[in-house]
Amino acid sequence: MSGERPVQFPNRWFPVARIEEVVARHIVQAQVLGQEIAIWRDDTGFANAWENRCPHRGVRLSIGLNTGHELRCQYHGWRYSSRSGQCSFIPAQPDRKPANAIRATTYGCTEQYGFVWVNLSNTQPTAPLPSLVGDSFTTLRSTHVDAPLSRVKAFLERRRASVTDGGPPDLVEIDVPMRDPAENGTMRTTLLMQPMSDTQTVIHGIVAKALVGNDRLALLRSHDAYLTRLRDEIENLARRDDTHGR
Amino acid sequence: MLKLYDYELSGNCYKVRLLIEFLGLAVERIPVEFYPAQEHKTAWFLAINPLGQLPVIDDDGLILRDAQAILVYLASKYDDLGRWYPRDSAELLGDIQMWLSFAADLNGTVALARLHDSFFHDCDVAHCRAAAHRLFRLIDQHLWFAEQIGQDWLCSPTHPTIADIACFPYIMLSEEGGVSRLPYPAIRRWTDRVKRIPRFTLMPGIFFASALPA
Amino acid sequence: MQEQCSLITCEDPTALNAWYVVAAVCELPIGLERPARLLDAPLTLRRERGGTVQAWLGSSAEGLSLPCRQKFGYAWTSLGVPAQDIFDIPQYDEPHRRNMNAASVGVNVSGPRAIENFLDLAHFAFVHTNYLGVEPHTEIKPYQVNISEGGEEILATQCRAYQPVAALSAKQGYEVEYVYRVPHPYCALLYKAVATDPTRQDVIGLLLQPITEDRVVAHMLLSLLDDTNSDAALRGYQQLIFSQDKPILENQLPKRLPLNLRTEVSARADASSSTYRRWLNDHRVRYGTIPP
Repeated sequence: MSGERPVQFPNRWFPVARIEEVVARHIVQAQVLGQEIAIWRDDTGFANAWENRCPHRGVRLSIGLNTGHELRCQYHGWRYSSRSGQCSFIPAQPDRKPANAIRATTYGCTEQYGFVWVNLSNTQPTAPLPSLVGDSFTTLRSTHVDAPLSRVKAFLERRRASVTDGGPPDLVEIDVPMRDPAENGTMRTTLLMQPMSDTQTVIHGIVAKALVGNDRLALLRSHDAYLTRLRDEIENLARRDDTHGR
Repeated sequence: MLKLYDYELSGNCYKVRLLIEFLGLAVERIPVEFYPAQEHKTAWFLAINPLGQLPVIDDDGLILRDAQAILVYLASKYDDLGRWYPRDSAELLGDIQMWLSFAADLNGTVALARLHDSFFHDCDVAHCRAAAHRLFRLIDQHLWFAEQIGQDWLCSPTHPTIADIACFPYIMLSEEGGVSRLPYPAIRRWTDRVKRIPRFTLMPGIFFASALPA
Repeated sequence: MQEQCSLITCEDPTALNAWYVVAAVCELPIGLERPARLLDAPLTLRRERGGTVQAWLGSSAEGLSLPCRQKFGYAWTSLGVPAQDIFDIPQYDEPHRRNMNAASVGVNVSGPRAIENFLDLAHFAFVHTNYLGVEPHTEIKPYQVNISEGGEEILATQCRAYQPVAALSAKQGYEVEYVYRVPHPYCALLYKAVATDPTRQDVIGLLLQPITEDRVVAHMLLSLLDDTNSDAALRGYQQLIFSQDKPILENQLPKRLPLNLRTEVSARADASSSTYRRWLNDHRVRYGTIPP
């Protein structure tokens, strides 16, 4: 019950947030393929990914409350339980148990390689996660880009990045040579694409090396600077092309 | 008693109301009707603040305009613990001033977009929104790297300062001006933390965050 | 003439042939032109020195002159040919009434979503906490919703909600009873008995000016019996309440109101909303709605 005609989503996993960013009693607001998602962790640590929309009157769940075991909608206080998404309480009729059919729309959600991944399709079985790195890795700060995935990929391909498709075209894993301040060389980095919508993309990143302390901070900063410059170039090109009507 | 010339829906006035609550100060709120009466442009108010802007405080005859200036004054004078504006740290004071100026930039961008969408203020709203997004990217990056070293606030590792108060309202109300915070996860986590500061108070358009587990 | 007609892109006859508020008269500067938008069409308004207000589709120089009436302190116009006059509010003309526009606020949501929010009681404790409601007093007892004989209006009666009292006064809250009236697809009125004289009512009106299908100007009419508060205080309170609703409205998806009753889940407390959706569909209102 999403308010308009149902959309078919591909049976794919998309990264949407770094694991440590889905913090307690918080609701992450994300978007994949135009669909807004509310991601939240209950107090046992379980990560939920739900359609960001209360089934009652369509208010975004992300402006509501994560109480540690349920989401409460900000509009009428309806409560939805972790894991099942089932509505457990309707304050306007406090003595009546809500009908079983009343529930938030839940999506497949898993955590691996330092990221929370979401699968929007309801088909079973769900596709496997792409295999990325081993047990030692560092996740980077994610970069939001005001450009569609196609532009981001095209840009990276022109830069002679080694493009290895991890599966169907929507999720692209690209190995990009980057500068490592400690080694004065380059560091192999995997960029993971999260297609937010027709106009926006998030680039997540991961390096297959576990770093700590100042080394880790230095890597995060230098990679963030690099990705930010990359992002600016992609956006400048997109703006230039839009101005020229391409 | 401290007097505050105040309008309920003004984010700038809310900055002062927040610090007043955090400091536990007694205040007499004198309403000045920004809309529709445009009372802030009337003769009696212009006599108090020739710029015709809110908020203004009158502390026993000392008149101050400009939300950021008022925050500096109230924190300096009334914060016995010296945390909201730590005058013993030149580094922190410089850092705080940087973000107070940033808050003024927010006033000229995301706050104007809100005025446009709600009250039909005449401005280049597309430009305001684009500029707001540039500012949001900057502060999101800053907050993200702060989190990496265990710092929950804009300037100080251990506690909020008036920089956090100055930047919070118009960031929190950004969606009223068509500026979504969806691309800024670090900002969204920070606004939750500001809402959990003891004695945090609301203004219309802002809701409480969930308490952290005990 | 053809040029002006092309300025009207709205194709919903029910929406077109209705009267709409386009301004609070006292907020229009005298002798100056003010642009406005209604149902996606550009208008020009001008309040004359004598007190009349003129409206044009397009510019005043080349545009089409539109009918313009004044009622309840507002300028009303129509892009079509309304079958009926603007509805009445008898209380407005009573002596000693405090009549005013509390505010005209832009909201990024469809008109029908905003009307539904105005008719709703179950959100008081969550959106207007400590003002109009408070937990745990969230139960909404059943109320009555009826459509008038000719189908022109909706009336909801016996709408009761627990109202907390301000901190300085009595310790206990009390039950308030509201009557809601929908005399127009984009207008709703709330009637509340006055504490000092239960035979008389305060009236609060939400009169919407749809700019686009996803954006409205909310004009808020107050017609109150009040001996103690200034005009600014009365307006300020209504502005506060409405500003609490605003982020809820602007975070509703989809922005347009689905008229298929199975699209969104309703509880017993949503009787007004269900009736309103059916009524809009019966009147074939398409602007700002998603047909079933």
